This record gives sequence, C-alpha cells and structure tokens, in this order.
Amino acid sequence: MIADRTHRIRLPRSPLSRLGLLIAAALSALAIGAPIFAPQAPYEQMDPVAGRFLPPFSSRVALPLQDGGWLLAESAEVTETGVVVRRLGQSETLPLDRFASVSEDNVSRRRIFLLGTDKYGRDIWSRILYGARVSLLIGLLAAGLSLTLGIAVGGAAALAGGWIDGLLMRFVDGLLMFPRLFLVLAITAMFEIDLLAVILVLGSTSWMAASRLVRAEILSLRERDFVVAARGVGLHPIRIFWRHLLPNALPPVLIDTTLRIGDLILIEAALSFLGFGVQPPIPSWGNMVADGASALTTAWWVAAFPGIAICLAVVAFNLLGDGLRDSLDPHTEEGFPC
Amino acid sequence: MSSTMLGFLIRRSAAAVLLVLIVLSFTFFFIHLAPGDPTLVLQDPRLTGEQRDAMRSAYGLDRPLAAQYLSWLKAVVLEGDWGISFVHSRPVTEVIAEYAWPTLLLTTAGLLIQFGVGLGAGVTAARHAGSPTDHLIRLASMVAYSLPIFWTGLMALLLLSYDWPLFPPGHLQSIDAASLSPLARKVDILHHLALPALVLGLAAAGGTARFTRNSLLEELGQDYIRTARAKGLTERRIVWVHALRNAAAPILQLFGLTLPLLLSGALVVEVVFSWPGLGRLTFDSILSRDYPVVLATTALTGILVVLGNLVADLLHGVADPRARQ
Repeated sequence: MIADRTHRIRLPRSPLSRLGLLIAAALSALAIGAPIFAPQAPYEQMDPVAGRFLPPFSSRVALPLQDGGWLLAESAEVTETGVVVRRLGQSETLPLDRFASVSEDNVSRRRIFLLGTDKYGRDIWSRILYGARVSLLIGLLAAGLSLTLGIAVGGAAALAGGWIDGLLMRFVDGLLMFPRLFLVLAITAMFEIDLLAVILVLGSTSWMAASRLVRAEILSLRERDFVVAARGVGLHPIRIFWRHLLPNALPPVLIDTTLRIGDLILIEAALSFLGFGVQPPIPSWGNMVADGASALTTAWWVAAFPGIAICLAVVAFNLLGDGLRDSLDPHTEEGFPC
Repeated sequence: MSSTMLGFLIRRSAAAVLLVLIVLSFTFFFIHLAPGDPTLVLQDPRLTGEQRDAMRSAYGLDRPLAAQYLSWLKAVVLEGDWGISFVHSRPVTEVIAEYAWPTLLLTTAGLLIQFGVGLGAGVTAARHAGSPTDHLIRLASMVAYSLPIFWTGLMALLLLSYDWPLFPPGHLQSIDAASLSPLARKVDILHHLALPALVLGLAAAGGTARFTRNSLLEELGQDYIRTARAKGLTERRIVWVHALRNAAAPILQLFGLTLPLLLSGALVVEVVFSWPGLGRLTFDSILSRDYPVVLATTALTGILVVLGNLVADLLHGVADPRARQ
C-alpha cells in the first residue's frame, strides 16, 4: 500500500485534556449504567403530594402502599393501632392494611434524594442519569451524521472540482450565514418532533465546517507524491479516495468532530429548552432546565443541576478535542469553536 | 480611492449580494419543501377540502413552487413586501421594524462586552503566556463558551434579580415606563438591558479571548516584535500597538464568524428574559405558526450575518492592503 500517515491521533498528554477524557468517560458510564446508578426510574413519581420539590439531600421514609404507590414520610413509627406517620408537617395514624409491607427495616431506612425532586416528585439525580443517555446519544449520532455529510460534500467538491466545487461551496457559504438556532427552529417547526427528527435536523445543519475541512485536506493531499504515484500506477480514483485520501484526511476531521459533539449537546439542550427538541416526559438535560424555569424561585435545584450536567459534558468534549488537536500537531493554530 | 480599493469594494459587495440571494432562496425552500403547508397547520381542521383549496389559491400555494418562489423573491427584493403576518394582521415589515431595535440594542451591547472583555482577557493571557493568570483565563474562557446560555440566564435571574434584586427580572422596561421622563425611561431601559447583555456578551467573550490570545502569541513571536523590543519600546506599546494591529485581521474575521453565534444566543436570551426582540418574535411566531414572520426573521438574521461579514471584510481591506488582492 502506498500511503504515508501524515497525522496520527495520540492520547492527549496534557492534564486538562485527560481530565476531559475522564469526565466524558464517567458521564458515558453513568449514562450506560443508569438503571444501576439511578435509585428510581426517570418517570417514577413516588409520592406526588409529599414528594414534590424536595430540596437536595432530603431524606424520607418510603413506605410501599397496598395500591402499588409509595408514601413518603419525614418519619414513621409502627404502633399497635397502625402506623404513625409524620408527613407534610402533620402527624397522622394510618391503618396497617393501607401498606403493602411494614417492617422495622423499611420504617427505619431512609431514601435520599441526592439532588432533590421536581414538581411531579421525580428524582432529579435519576432523571439526570437517564437524560445523559438522551443528550449524549443525540450529540454522538448527530456528530456522526454531520461527519458523514461533511465527508460526502467535501469529498465530492474536492474530487469533482470546477463548477460543481464552486456550486457546493457557495451552498456551504450560504448555509453558514444562518444563525444555527434560527435555522434549526425554522426546520423543526415543520415536523412532528421525535428523537430521530432531532438527530436528523441537528446533524444536517452542522456539517458545513467539516465539509470545508475535508475539501481542504483532500486538495492538499492530492498533490502529494504518494497520491501522484497511486494515480501513476493506474489506481481507480474511487480506490485512491478510499485507500489514500480519506484515511489521511480523516484525523483532523475527527478531531473537529470531537469538538462538534460539545457544540451539538449545547444546541440540543437549547432546542429542548425552547420546547422544540426532546419532548417531555423523555428526560433530556435541556427540557429538565425548562421544567425548572417555571419554578425557579421555589425550587432552584430543578433547573440548576441539569444545567451543571450540560456544562460538564460540553467542557469535557471541548477539553478532549483541544488535547487531541494539540497532540496531532502542536503547532496548529487554535481555531474558533463555531 | 485607489483602483484596487474600488475593485475590492465592488467584488466583495457583489459576493455579498449573491450570498443574500442564496440566503433568501434557502429560507424559502426550507419552509416550502417541508411536509405540510401553512394552511394545514394554521387553519381549523373542520375546514372542508374545498374551503382549504380556496385558501390555498388565495395564498397562491396552488401554483408551481418555482412560480411561487419567483413571485415571492420579486416582492421581497423589489418591493420589500414580506407579506402579511397571520397573527398580527399587519405587514410583516411593520412587525419586524417594531421588534428589530430591541435586538439591535441587545446584540450591540453584547458585542461591546464580548470584544471589550474578550480582547482584554486575551491580551492579558498572551502577555503572561504560561503563567497561572494565563491558565486561569484559558480555563475561564473555555467554561464561558461551554455554558448553556439559557441556563446562565436563568441562574443570573435567580441570583441577581430574585435573591438579590440588583436587576429587574426581564422585559424591556418597567410597567410604569410611560409615566417616566424621557431621560428616566432611557436609564430604565439600560437597567433592564444590563443583565441580558452581560449574559450574552460574557458567553461570547470566552471564544474571543481564546482567539485573541492565540493570534497575538503568534504575532509576538515575529521578528518585528524583537526589533521593537530592541528599540526599547515599552511592553505595553509593543503589545497593544504593534502586535495587536497585526493580529487585527484574524480578529476582524472573528467578528464575522461569531455573529451567527451571537444572534442564536440572543434568541435564547430574549426568550429567557422576555426581551421583545426578533428572537422572541421568531419563537412566538413558530409557536403560533405565523409562517410569513418566521420566513422573514430567519432570512433577516442570515442577511445580517452576510452584512456583518461584509463590514469585517471591508475593514480588513482598509487596514491591510494585502487583503485587497
């Protein structure tokens, strides 16, 4: 095979980008293991009355009810007449037969709501973990789509040249002029929005920078000796593209895609916050913040924590992308993330 | 004016006009190629097929797409006629004129903060490259552009408006603004502007600081800087006058590049702060399916970006004769 590896992606060396890798890995692990790490299901409303807007680190005694629900109490005590429950600031005695099981163990064991609960009494920590699945998956798949489209358009423009190149690049220029959120909103407004639609819209509006990068890389690679030699021995242009041009053009494009993931997570969050992205009750970090926005003064934690999750994820992918870029070529000028 | 300058002006302006046409065409086709049409979503589902057909022909939607496109483009470009808003029942241009100035106010203030803070922080970081100050600024700027702006806006409202009432909680002016003197009204609007502009500007300043630092560091390694140092110029003068002037070209381009980001950010900030601007108008119009307005605001923000890039290009040409070629 005639090829020279002009770029090689190495594991980033700087401590900050390792931190980024660590955070990204931890978030992914939490997302994948959500059923293990989350104490509750994302839609579970344990006690819609007494479990509403519990502040972070609240703990409650959770008693299983006969009808399948739960009763959350500040404290509970089993007596001969029934269960004395302190709930919503009042004490009441409830008959034993209302509960599915009352033992010394589940009266004394307290359930902790690490990051508090929302207006439906759903556990925020659990929803953030399940939301990580949605937000990270959308970010990754949309980035994959934008990478694919970028390679297709950029590759076609570079290989075809002439007026096709001119036309495709004017097309890219035109698309780049739209503020992304306006463009994405105008498009999503026309569809029934589901997860797939969000991925398609985000991916199909974010490939332009990648296509420019692919085009530029291929145009410069095309004049290199090993490609000229490959042409000289009569390899088919398609084969030259797959075997020689694309593999060598890919590393900088992949790094750009890493940086794009953070960007896409942010846009998905903004879109879901505005109500045009992931639809409730499916948790995404963006729509969780929107949930909290209406209760900002009564329960700050509902909006605050999902926002912190977004920051962590975006910072992680940005640190990682930066580190990868520096390790690819320490002399590259850091571009502007847009 | 030299002939190269004139040729440069004409070439760049022609390119911008072409881009505006592309932007207009894209907007039209995005909206019209999408499944469904305005009459389907706008109108009562109880309408009969005949009534819907009548409506479609009234809006001209029964004509071939190419014919619709040409007559729309003709109306927009030649007559400045963007149609009638379904919701406001007024010409779209009138509605937009009303919502445009709050957005201009917000984005201008945001831009000032973005470049004021961004340039300052970037230059400071570059002057002390490798020092703890530099690391701190780099980390802070990365965090700034990684923050979701809707969330920072909400947290700013919570802390600086509800918990510690320094700023009013959103909106353009106080309810009793009409009873205030003209000067007091201006102060009132500025007071309302402060928080959203800070949220918008500081988020954008992160990228600017980072870009400024890197461009400046590149310049500071050049020979002419060594010459300036050898001449005994002060470090302050070397950085702010010599190096920054040469780093100005990429920073000007940054202005064009960040404009779309700033406008997207403004949309979110306007929604969070109930700021009656184009972003808020777009958001409300999408909710109420007011297509003529959505079409106009989407195209208009695209055109604003084209114009911003044109201004940056022309300034670059004025500052650097090499760019005119």
